[in-house]
Amino acid sequence: MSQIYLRNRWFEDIPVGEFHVFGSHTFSELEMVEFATRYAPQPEFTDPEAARELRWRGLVATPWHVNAIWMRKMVDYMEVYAQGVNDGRRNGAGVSVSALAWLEPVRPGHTVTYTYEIIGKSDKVIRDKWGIISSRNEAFNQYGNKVMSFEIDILAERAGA
Amino acid sequence: MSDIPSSAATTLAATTSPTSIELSEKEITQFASQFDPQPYHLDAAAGAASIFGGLCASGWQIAALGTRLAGDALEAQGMAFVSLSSVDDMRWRRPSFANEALRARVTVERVEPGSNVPHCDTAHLKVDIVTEALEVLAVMTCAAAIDDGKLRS
Repeated sequence: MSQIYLRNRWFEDIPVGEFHVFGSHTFSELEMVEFATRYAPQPEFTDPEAARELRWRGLVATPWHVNAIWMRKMVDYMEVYAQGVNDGRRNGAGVSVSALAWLEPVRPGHTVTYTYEIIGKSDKVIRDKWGIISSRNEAFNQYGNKVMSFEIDILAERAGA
Repeated sequence: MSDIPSSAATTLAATTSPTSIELSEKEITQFASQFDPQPYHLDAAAGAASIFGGLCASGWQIAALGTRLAGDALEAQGMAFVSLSSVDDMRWRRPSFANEALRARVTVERVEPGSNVPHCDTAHLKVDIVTEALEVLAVMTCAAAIDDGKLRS
């Protein structure tokens, strides 16, 4: 039986309801500080010492860092399944995000696990060849608490386009 | 509730971040190699061949940068921006290429007491991430946590 690679699929092949646990990442203090220094220079995110006296009583990851790691884990997951497939079926260009919430702080040493579920497909055709896939994405810490969730619409190439 | 300047609380006029930030090609590819290693964010030729028509920044890099700029715009209004707490809707309108000077244009729609971020109030915002020529790269409807001035260690 031949393996079905996730990225080696057309829009039409991707089923609503499909669910994946696609990656985990343990956040280090160093990478949190590096990300925040450029994108969120508040001391809660950049200064481990000062952060102890601030609102979260310790350094936390800036919200977009949690989503940047989501992206990395998603790309890695798709690449593994694609196994070098490069025939133009590049799922992934993002269109829009909704219902994004950061629910609990992510602290140094926390391990975050990411999941997605396909929740919808639009019949709308973009530039004669792309369909739109909607997914619900969630991230959980090592205690099982949800730390982040959002929905995203991405483009997927249609068969025979 | 924090002392929100009446100008911010009562007007829906947009404030633009006082500073702009440009992403160099190197910064685009560095972010992409770390967080979004897809060909159109890493390589000029792959970008040109892609739906985007050129090497462009990861949408997440633009979201993070736009949020920093939105924070600057709020600070310029006297609001102590801490972080975003949620995003109702975000749309990437067009790809962001290297060396475009980006600013955030922020409208404060309303401010409410309380936030899931400790010691903060919530400011509901509309944020446009724009170029110098006021082309819109991305738009966000979001909630920001604003220090309520009551945090004492």
